[in-house]
Amino acid sequence: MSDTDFEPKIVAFLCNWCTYTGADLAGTSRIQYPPNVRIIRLMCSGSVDPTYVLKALLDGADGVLIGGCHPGDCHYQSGNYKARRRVIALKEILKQAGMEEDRVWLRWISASEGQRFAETVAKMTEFLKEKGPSPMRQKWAV
Amino acid sequence: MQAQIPVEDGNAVAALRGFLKGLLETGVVEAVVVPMETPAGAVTPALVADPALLDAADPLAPVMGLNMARVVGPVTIREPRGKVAAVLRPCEYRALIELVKLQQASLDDLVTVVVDCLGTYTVPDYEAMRAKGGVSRGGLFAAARTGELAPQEGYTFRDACQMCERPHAERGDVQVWLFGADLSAGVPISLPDDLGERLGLSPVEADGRRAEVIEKIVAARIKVRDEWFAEIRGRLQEEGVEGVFAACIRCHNCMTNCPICYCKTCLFKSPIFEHEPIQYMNWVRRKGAYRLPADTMLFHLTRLNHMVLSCVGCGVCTDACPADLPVGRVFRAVGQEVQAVFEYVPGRDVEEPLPLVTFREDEWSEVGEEE
Amino acid sequence: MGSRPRIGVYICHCGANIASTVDVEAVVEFAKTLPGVVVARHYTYMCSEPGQALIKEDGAKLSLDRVVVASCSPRMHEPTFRAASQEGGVNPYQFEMANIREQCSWVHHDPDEATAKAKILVAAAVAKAYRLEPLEDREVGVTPGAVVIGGGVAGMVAALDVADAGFPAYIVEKSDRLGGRVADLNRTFPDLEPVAEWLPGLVERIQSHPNITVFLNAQVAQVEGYVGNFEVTVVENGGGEEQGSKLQVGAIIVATGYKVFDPQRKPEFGYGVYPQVITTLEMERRLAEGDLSVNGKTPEHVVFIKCVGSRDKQLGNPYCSRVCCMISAKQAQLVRQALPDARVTVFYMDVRAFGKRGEEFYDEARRAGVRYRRGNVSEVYRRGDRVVVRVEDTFLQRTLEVEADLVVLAVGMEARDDADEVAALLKLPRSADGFFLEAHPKLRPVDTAMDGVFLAGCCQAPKDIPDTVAQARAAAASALIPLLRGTVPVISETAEVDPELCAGCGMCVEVCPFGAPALDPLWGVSRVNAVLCKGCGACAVTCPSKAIQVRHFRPDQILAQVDVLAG
Repeated sequence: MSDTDFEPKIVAFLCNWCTYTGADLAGTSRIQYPPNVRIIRLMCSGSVDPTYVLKALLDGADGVLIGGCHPGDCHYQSGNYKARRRVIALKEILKQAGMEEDRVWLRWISASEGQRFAETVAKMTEFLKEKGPSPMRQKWAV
Repeated sequence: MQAQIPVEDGNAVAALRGFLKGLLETGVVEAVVVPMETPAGAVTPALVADPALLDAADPLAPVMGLNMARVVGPVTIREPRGKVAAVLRPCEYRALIELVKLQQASLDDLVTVVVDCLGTYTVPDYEAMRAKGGVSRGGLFAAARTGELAPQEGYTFRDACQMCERPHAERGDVQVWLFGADLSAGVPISLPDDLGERLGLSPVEADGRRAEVIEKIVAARIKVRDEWFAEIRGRLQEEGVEGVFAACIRCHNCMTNCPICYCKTCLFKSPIFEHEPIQYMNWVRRKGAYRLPADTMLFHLTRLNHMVLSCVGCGVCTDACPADLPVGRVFRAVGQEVQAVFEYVPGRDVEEPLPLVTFREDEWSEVGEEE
Repeated sequence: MGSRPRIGVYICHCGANIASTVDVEAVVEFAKTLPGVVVARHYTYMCSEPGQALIKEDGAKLSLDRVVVASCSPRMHEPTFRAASQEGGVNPYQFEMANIREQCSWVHHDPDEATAKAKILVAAAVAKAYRLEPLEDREVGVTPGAVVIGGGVAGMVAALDVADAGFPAYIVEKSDRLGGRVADLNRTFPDLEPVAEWLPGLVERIQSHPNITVFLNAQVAQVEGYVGNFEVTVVENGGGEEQGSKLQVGAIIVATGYKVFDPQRKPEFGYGVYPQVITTLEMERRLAEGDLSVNGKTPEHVVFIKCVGSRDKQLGNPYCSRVCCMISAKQAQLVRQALPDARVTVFYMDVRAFGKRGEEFYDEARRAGVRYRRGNVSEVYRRGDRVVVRVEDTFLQRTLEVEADLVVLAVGMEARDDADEVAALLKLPRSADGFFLEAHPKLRPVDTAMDGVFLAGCCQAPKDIPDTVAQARAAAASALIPLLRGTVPVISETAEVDPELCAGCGMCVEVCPFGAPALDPLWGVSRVNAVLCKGCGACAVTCPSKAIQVRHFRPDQILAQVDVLAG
């Protein structure tokens, strides 16, 4: 697969209150961004289970985006702080386990940051295109 | 206080048995969890209430099939319970502390007796030694004084022991300090003053060799550890988890024997991972082939995620693996880095919260705010 | 899962909003191939009457048990389609939306790409719907009555509204009297009305109201329960004897007020060192008593220093206390009236004379001869029996020194020292300035993160009396909503525990910010009080065996979505 026709698959876990709404705002503002992102709505970034992220990566997703409210803005007070630790731990495990941790992005994007959401998707898509397809796409023995 | 258990006829094991009997006879505890030699000659943990039966106790048995923390948990977990002592190696004590944090064990009504660990053999090796005429202790006990610990000829210590840099009792109510000691003379112990008085022990000055010997042992172990870490890290980067664990037969022995894996039913044995037959066809269409049983690497990676922060490096996972996979080396090598991120040392302090149930608002404030 | 799911899929054109980019017919054909789908249709506007009718008719005719609508954001029309599903005999919670407008047709121009993405979003929604279980709407009854913490103006006004609406109101006041800080005031701006003309009347109404109970020298010791059903433990400390009462109420209004800034934290102003330096509150008393003398002498020059303890980043109080400008203008005018021969100077950073009649009042002060000088006061020191105020004049860029007989520090407001305890009792978040945090700065200014707990007055932020009363009445009106309805709706997508799987590690208890799970001491397993649960899922992610899961966001449901989207 050459770099030019490689279209990364990004699975996004977005919190209902901030980033999912921010993505909606990108829509109502008609801000264009690459169609590579596929969104799963969860109630809170603090409920993103690392197993979901691992499953996506092993299935062959080229990237995983986790979006939550900025620190201090969590609808459930502290879900994003817990998510932050969880994602940091997960990324260190991925790094140590020889999986590419830079395919997993955590971003705080508020309900009013439609532009930031679109830019994040564009940047991540660009980054993954340069990085190339996930090696997991080819591996059956996982 | 620091005290010494008197040794007669050069028999340090008998001296420790005597100490444990003392705990029972003075009513400090009602029972002791300790490795026992069965009538058949094998070693197993047991809960012992009859002081006479402690003649079969083998508190320094150089074999480790399971982590004692696993068996101490059920004995202590909730009231009503008995007042119990447990003889633990340092890695078992650390696992116990993690289990206490996970509310799978309790330190209430428990006297922990943590012994310096001179190294252990796997159960098959120990059984082979027995079959071939016995397991010599003398060499090991003599080596405790010098720090020149070596396995019996023709055998190796367990994988985890060879790279264990915390073999010495650092915490625990009673600590049995074998390192640096002349065990033919007496067994040095550290214990609370009131307990020492109750047992009729009097304070003894330590001769100060212990620290020096520990330093020597730890340095040698770290050397092995770092070599093995470098090797396993190289393999992980090169082959990935799917390479290192390629031969996994999904028996779940590593999980079943892990002292930290406390779930009643593993997620991977629950209906969440029971798939519809048609689902397998969806998967196989994607990559052309699909490894069975499903989700094998997801199992290992999720297990890393669930317990690597609490991994105390006891290595029973490695011993339990029928495919001889370096499970313990992977968990220790990964754990070292992940634990460092959170400055977390499993088993250090029961008050230290598990890293993923706590947080600070002002940490990692740059994370998530990137462009 | 009993019989195989029967899913209806409906693709909305949203006029041209979706259909001009996404090939809706292709998506329909694709949807028909998905597991469990028995019917797939497209329609111009699914949210219209005829659009909803499609769902209702199919639901009944084809015995659907699950519905997927691919249209706009669920934040827009999820309630609409849930209702339509219900009318078609489908449990409203066995409904899932695919957001192919905001997150597809509006953001992707290319029809092929947009159509491909719409298909995969529909497939993920169908995969989730396949695994959804039926849930029921839930409500709980409400205990009539409200506890009001704080017996100042905010607390009294709020309690009065609750009581006048016919519900018991309990005021818990820490001090030995009602009236709060306002009772220390003499006259109020911008009308110079004596507080004595209205405050005693308000206190009297409280004391004589049949629905109001006042606890003085009392504190809230414990709060349990949730919106609609709180149990508030009040401890009275009368004459050294502690006495506890448990109050059952449906709502709580927090009106704990503020702390006056301690000017000794600005030692350069000499408060506590020179008798000539006093605070605006001490000035209130002197004005009330009509005694402005210093060391037996009538002052010739009275200086006001504003923003003491406010707008001061070094102190950690970057905010404006909102009342000090007007208190200074008021007291300066009263000094001019009392001592027509004395000079009155106000040193200020800015004059903030907002609010009804604020600017006019400030004008009146200047017309009355009060001199306003812009400048930052750097120091107050003694010279003989007077003090010297050293000022950096920010207009003229020079240092100025003026002698004064009386210096009045316009001290600001801070969060109370016991705000920590109150926050911990009620699980209230606080903003960076230490005041309690409202749920939304614009739309939910009296609500908090805790349902059923409302804020009134200066515990939320500094404000003047009219704003305090407005907020107190808003808090009372908000608290009355559950009390008048008699029930409160609670979400159905709550956590639940499988006791067979639960090992009782307690991590879910640890991570829940709302106290919903608790370990059952008898069985050693976690149990969820569904009324407290907000469905955030922090517990589920913490539980390694997934013994605790959130309905509608179960691991198998989410993993099914992942599987479609990552594949």
